[in-house]
Formats: sequence, structure tokens, C-alpha cells
Amino acid sequence: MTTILTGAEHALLTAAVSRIVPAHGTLPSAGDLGVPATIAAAFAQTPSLRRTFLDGLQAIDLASGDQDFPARSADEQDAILRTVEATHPVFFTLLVDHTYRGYYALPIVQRALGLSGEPPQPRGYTMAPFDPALLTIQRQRAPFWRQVKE
Amino acid sequence: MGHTDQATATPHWSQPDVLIIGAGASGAASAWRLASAGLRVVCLEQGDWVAPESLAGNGPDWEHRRLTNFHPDPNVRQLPADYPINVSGSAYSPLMFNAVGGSTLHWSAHFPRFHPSDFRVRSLDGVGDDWPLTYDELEPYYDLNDRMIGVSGINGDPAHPPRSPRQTPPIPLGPLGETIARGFDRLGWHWWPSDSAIISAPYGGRHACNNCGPCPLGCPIGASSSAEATYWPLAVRLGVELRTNCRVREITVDRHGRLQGALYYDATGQLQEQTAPIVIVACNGVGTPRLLLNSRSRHFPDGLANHNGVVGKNLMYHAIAGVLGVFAEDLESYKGPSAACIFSNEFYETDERRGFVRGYQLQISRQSGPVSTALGVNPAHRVPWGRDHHAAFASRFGRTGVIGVTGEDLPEACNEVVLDPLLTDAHGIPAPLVRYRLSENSLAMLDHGVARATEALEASGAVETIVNASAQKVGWHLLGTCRMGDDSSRAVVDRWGQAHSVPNLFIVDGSTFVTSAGTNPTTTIQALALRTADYILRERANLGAGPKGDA
Repeated sequence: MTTILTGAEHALLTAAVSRIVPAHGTLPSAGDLGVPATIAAAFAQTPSLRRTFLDGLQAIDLASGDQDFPARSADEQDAILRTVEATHPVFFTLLVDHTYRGYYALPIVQRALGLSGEPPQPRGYTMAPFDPALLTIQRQRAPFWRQVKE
Repeated sequence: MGHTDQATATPHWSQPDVLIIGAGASGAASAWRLASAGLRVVCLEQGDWVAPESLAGNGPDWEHRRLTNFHPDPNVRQLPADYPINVSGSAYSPLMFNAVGGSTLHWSAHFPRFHPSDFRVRSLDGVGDDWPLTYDELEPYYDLNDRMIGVSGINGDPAHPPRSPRQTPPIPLGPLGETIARGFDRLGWHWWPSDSAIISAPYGGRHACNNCGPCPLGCPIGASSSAEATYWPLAVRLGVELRTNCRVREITVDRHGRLQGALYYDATGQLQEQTAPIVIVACNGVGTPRLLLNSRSRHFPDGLANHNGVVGKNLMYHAIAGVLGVFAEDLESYKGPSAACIFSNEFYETDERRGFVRGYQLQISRQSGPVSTALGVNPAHRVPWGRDHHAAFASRFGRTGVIGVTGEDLPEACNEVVLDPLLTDAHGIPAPLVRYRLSENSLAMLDHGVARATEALEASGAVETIVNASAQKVGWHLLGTCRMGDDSSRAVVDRWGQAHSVPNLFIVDGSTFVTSAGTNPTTTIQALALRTADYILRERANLGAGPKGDA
């Protein structure tokens, strides 16, 4: 897979997305499920967004001050991310959107939601057919479409 | 049957009776109708067949593809078949798809008919214009089209004249649809199961819908009654020659100004000419005016059929907003065709006490998929990130429904498609520039509709409502840019879709719409296309394009 990130940038991205979607119960965080690689690949394919993305990662690094972002506590990381969300809103929206796009596309995550983890087809869903009794009230209404004189 | 019939050998018509440009909803319907009467038809399409197995719904990345290479906005998608559209003069981007089947490949298949009143807007409400035809005149073609493609629904709707029996029962409402239907009942407001161009039971040799959800990604099993799954296999079998990856540069006339044919770039990029005595344009409300404006000649220096400067004017997208309701219980809202399982026409007609004329339809749709749930309908209501993310996500997934407001926007000359002075497509053909804004009337209508949608969601038990005031700033429907009318000084085509200033040139897509009605257009587009085809069949000898002894 094409990569556009240094090792340090990748580590920073991993730490960041792990705060955006943290671990929950038995479900690992976005960082532990490989979402950073998916995000990096998406930006590798979209050079027009790369500058915003890399500038944003740098903003996180700068906001982290004299200690590397990945080494900071969860509370500190959250505070730094909230700062960058305010100063770099376009980047941050991209980051959160791509984190969600990567995370919720994972079969392991979908199965944890009670879904099959499979694509829409060929399985589909079984649903109860339409129940005509639902129309009991509506069928009592007289026709009311607007009449037109020809 | 199905998409694979594309492989059927077709004769090569060097001298067709009719040339059709565009293989979407209207091009497909007219091609089938003309070929079924024995005419030789060639259709040029800038896109290609989309193999069902290649559709996004077959793969785990389907929600990603909806946001990238299957996005409904061609400026986002940027596939080879697409042309760029300059929307810098507009807050709205038009949606379309370029392929065999056209935009029906990514439609939501909500398939309502216009009302009788929609054809008499000027007479009834003093705005827009009357159509040069009536609902009654179009009804047989609505019926024929429904039979041809298969429409689900149920008879007895008190808000509309009786319709012929639907081909299959309504699509399932699911717990979400039933919950909101009861909300409308509580308010005493109309609701009814939608007419959907999705077959809920086998029909015409096609499989029934299996409720997978994301119809706008194209239907991998052919249950959506889209043009490539319905009309095209039949038309190809009848001998229609469908040439794909062929992009028309211009429609040509001879030195006397008489229609000649079309110049197009074939799949290899080679310029070709196809002559025909009759040409039908079916390129949608952006593509059709673009093509006519690009077809300049001594006789038509401002674009073909543009004798009165009306080509490209009066673009109507529909005024659209939505309100998302969040419910406390799991309503499995990711199951079932995503759009409009039920609708309400309670506010469809003019009531001047509301502060605007004309009206809107409320459409109840579902959200499909965990990614779109997390992203929300707009960034302002994305599920929050951080510590509370999982709890917030759980409170929404499967528990949300949208009531969409689809309002009638009226024809205005300032909403228009023109040629961009610089931008071109990959073949160097001038691209369109679109200018569009919502009128005060439309904005007042949306305000009213958003308030009613919120009220309905609250009556249905929603614990939270989130307004998406102007849904995603996109142009859902492309209408009105080559309007129909009896008055040749104000209209581009006559009541049969024939250009006033170019005999034998017909337009069958949504650009001929006089007004937009407060509901989805494809039913009416296809009915009009079938009607124009019948006119051509009936009048062909008088059009100077009749059989020459070899038919």
C-alpha cells in the first residue's frame, strides 16, 4: 500500500484516531483496527486534500508542545484535539469523517452492532410485508385531490 | 433476462429512422416504443453499461464508494463518462449519472405521478405556466410505463385520482415507517405507501427486492425498475443499436437549416457522423441545453432550437430540505429501500394562508448503514467523537428516520444552464455553467415544510429532531431548461416535444417540464417520452421522415 506518512506521523495519526473512536467494551479503538492505514491510503489517492491533511497532523504535533502526542495521557490528547478542532476545522472534519468511514466499514465493528458484517448484497434483509390494516384511518378519508376544470 | 442481454447481436443501422441521444430513463423508454413498432433506432450514450456485479452494494466498501466513485455528483465522482459542470455561480450541484440507464442507476426510485392540478399551475394559482396537456392525456402513458417497468404500491390513495393496479404490493414499511405512519394518523394528516419503481415481488422475469437498503448505489439484483434493467434489454432485443462510450459534440443541420444528424466522438475518440431524419435528445435538464447551445450554425447562431433565447432558462431542481428524527427504540431503520417508503400529500396544494403558493410532498426515508449514521446528514449533527462516541452512536444507529420536504420550485429565467467560457470535458466540448438559487416562495415553502416535518416526527415519538435546512445543496432533479408550450415565442418545444424551430428534432427528458410539481419527476418524464414516441409513429409520414419503401 502506498504510504505518504513518516513513522512518526503514522504514530501520531494512530494515537489521534484512537481518541476519536476509543476502545469500547470488547471493541478495539480505531487506531488498533488499522484505520490509520485506510486513512493514509485515502489521502494518498487524493493529492488535492493531502496538504490539508499533513498540515493538520503537524498542527496536532505543534499543539502537543514539548512532549510527543502519542506519549501524552488520554485527557491531554483529548484537550489537544479539541484545540486543533477549533483552529483547523476543515482538517478536523476530514479526520473525523475518514475515521468514521474506515471504522464503521469494518466487519468486526459491524458485527458488534448486531449486523452480519457482510455487504448489502446478496443477503439483504427479511422484512414483514406491508400490512394493509395500517391504512384503516387513511381509507376513511374522502378523496381530496384538487379538482381541475378541463 | 436482465442486463446480460446487452450481448445480443444487433444490426448495424447506417440509416436509422430515429437517432436518440442519451440512454437514460427517457431515451430508453422512447427507444423501446419506437423499436417495438419496427423502426430502426440508433442510440448514442456517452457512458457504458455498468455490470451489476461491479455495483457498490456487492462489496464491503459500499459506503465509501457512495462518497467517492459512485457519488451522485459528477464533479465529485469524475469518472471518464462524466463531464465537468461549473457550479461556481450556484450554491447547488446537480446530480446525475452517465451510463446506460442514466441517473436511474443511482435514483431512490420514488415514483409518484403528477397531479391533475400540476398541469394547470397558471390557471389555478397565477404563477408559472399551464402545460399544453392534461393529466388525463398523459394517464394512458403513465399506465403503460408502470406496466413496462413494474411499480409497487397500493390503490385507494385519497390524495390522487385512482390509478391502475400497481404491479406489486408496497415495499415494506418496517418498524420505522409504521411508527411515522402512526404519527401522521395522530395528527389527522394524509400518508400513503409510496409508488416505488422497485418490485416487491417477482415481475417481468426480474427478482423481487430483498430490502438491502442503498438503492442509490444501483441495484445489483435488478429489483430497481431502472432503465438499464427494464427498457434496455427489451429495446436491444428489438434491434435498437445502442452505441456506448459515444459522446455527441453537436447536432447538425444542413445549409438550409434542416436537421441532419449528430457529430460524436466514438469510444476510440474518433469523430463520427450519424445522420437521421429524426433526432431525439434525452440528455437531462443540464445535458440537453448544453448540447443544443453547443450546436451552433448559420441558421442557429445562438444554439439549435434557441430561436427565442429560452434554451437553458428556467432550471428547476426542486426545493428540498429534511428533518432527521431520533427515536428511543431500535426501529431497524437500516433495513429496506432507503427512500420514501411512505409519503404525505397533506400540504401538496396551494393554501395561501401559509404565505406561499404551490406546495410540497413529505417523504419518509430511512438511513442505511453505520458509516452514514456516524457521519449524519450534515457535519453539524455528526455523531460526536471522543469518550461519548459509542454511546451517542448507539442512540442513533437503527433509530433514525428522515422526513424530506420536496417542494415545487417555479420557473425563473435567472436559474439557468449556459456554456462555460473556458471549461471543457475530456473531448474539448464546452462544459455547462449552472446558475441557481431558491426563490423567496421556495424558501417560505421549505420553512413551512420543515416545521410540519418536525411536528410529524414529534407526533411519531421522536426524542430529538435535527433540521437539515437545505438538503446537501444539491440539485436532485434537472427540469425545465427547454420548456414545452404552444407559444413558440416562449417555449422551446411544442406539446409533443418537437422543437418549434427545428422540425423533426424532439426532446424527451425533464428539460421540457413547464413546472416542476412538488414531487419526483421520472414517472412523468418516461410517460412523456412514450407519448412523444407515439406521436412520431403516428405522424412520421407527415414529418417528412416516413418509410421510403424499405421499411
